[in-house]
Amino acid sequence: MKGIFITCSVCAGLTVSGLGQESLDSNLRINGKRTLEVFSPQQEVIQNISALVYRGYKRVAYGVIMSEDGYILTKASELEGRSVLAEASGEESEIKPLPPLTIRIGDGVLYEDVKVVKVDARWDIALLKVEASGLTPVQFVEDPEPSHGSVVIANGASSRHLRRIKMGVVSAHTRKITGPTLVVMGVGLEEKDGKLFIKSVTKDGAANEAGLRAEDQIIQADETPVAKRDELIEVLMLKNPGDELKVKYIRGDKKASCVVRVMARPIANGAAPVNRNDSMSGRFSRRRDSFPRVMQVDVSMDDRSCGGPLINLSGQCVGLVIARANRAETFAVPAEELKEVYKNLMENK
Amino acid sequence: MKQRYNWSCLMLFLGFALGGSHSLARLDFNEKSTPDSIEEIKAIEAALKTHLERTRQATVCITNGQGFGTGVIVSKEGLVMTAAHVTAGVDKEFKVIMEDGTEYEAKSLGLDSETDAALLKITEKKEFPFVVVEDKPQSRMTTRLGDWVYSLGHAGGFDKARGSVVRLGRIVRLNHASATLQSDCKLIGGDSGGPLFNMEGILVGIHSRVGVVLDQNMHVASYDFFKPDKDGVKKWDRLLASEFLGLGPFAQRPVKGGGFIGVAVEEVEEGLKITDLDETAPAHEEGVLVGDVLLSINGEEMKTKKALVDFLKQRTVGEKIHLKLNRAGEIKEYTVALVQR
Repeated sequence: MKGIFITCSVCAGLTVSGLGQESLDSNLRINGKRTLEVFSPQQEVIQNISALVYRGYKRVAYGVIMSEDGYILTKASELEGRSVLAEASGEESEIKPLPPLTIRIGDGVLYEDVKVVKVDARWDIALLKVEASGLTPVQFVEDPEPSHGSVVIANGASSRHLRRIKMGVVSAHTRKITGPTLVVMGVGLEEKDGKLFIKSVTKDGAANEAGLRAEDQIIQADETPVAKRDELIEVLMLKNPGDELKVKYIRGDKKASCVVRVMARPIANGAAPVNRNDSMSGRFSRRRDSFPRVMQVDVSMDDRSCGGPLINLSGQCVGLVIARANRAETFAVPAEELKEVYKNLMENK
Repeated sequence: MKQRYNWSCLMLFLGFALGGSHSLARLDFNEKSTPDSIEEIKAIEAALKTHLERTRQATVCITNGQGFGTGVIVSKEGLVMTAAHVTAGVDKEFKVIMEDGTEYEAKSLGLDSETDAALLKITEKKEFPFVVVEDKPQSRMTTRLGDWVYSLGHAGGFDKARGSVVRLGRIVRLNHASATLQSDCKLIGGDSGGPLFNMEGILVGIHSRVGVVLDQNMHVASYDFFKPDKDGVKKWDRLLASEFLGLGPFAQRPVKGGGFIGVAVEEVEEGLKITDLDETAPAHEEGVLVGDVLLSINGEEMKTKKALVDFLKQRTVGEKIHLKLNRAGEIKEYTVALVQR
């Protein structure tokens, strides 16, 4: 048995005519036009509370309208726009600037002055601001989180004026998604005799700048005593790029401390498929792991359609679509955590 | 889209659940080409929620340690329906992982390498949660085009914190001739062999393969497992009897005569005396010694070299055989797995 099963073959071999062969009109499929007509009240909510975020002419994300005067939350790591970034980096030695971010709200009202106020790298959420008034902000769900099998609605194909929708269901347990840390100190680590040592220090890295050296023994990160790599990683998981990390260490027989300004781990550009499932998954998100807590749904999004609201049948927001993980899995930040993230971003802007 | 109303009332639903009750009317939302109110969407949601937990308990991850697939328990003794390309052979050992992480040993039974159907049996003696199966293609309750369905599976492998993944969709293609269903429940690697349920929580398909487009998700119709052959023998009985059916492509038939035991023999009065042993061969590894006299294999007497050669011709790589030998008056018995020559 090699790898994961499901043989991938193109089903075009099925003939349209022939005995016993019938095909359902595409308008009637789960996200077909006719099927979705029944959701007009939910479509209206999505029309009002979701924004379209463009980088130049290309839509890079949707957004969730949080306030009447134009505070919007969206997915941070797609804001640069993959293909736009590729165009901008070009072949000339001069780096072309990225085209500006613009936002459309409601029936197509264009906002050209978009400020990226602050980014929460841990949740991959950006707080944007446009100068607006009278917008319809999102209403959050009051009940506990929707259970397994609950129907949810998200942004579907959209034009400047019209937000279409897509339906799906909550499809797995809400949980933490592990993954690499979002920030790095610039060290190689080694566990020896129940202690944590720095094995190597990256030349231009944060640890080097802070004065850490190979063979230093790390004993504390912020307020947490550490003796294992995993314990240090737990603390790093809570940091955003540019944050300070207080490190206590032993060099020789002396105890000392320093402050490390952690840096962003570079996210692979273009999100190349890493396994067979990725190859079946179309365009998935660049950042699709290392989330503290996500809800999982089966709504099929892609890399340019994250960042918008996920609502229930009553039109209340149950989350923000944060990542297209693969063909079968889409993640959303649950409403409770989203409210916290918003509060923190607003307080610290 | 035409509605076919099959009033022949041939069979009421028959499954493995004794006393399982199902409504005799088809669900309202399946009678319309598309739901025409939010109430009907809510009815679909309610139906899903009613059956989800129970059907998840019977959905298992299947692994041999290297890859993962999914299966579904269809009898309380632990009979599991899955895909042929998951088991890939008869009488092979697997582990089955339940939703809560508990693992059980299992063995593959028969398979149909052309339709991708297979059975597996959990060897532990206990009662398991199980689901009811749609076993007949022509009945009032049969799956039809446009029916709402949901799929479960261990997409990407077993993840205890996540559990199996549910997806909602509709039947978008039906092919009675090949007994396949296509739905828009998006499947991915790891889902193979997993269950497709209708909105009454009855098993209607087993996941087989996907196409490039998101709504190309192919399932073996559950009734394929029960198809009678031209002699009227039900496939189910042949699968239970561990038969390898078909010539692929979903599994490769083991080649007979490829199995190697690694002994040289000379005929003696009571059997075949072993005159040489290949050092790397399984017989040597298990403890057979030069000088041992082979009396029988699998209970069959071995008196001539030809008998041994003929016997081995019928065996395949990986097959286990039971040797009975005489070592200076003492009877020795060994089980040896044949290897590739």
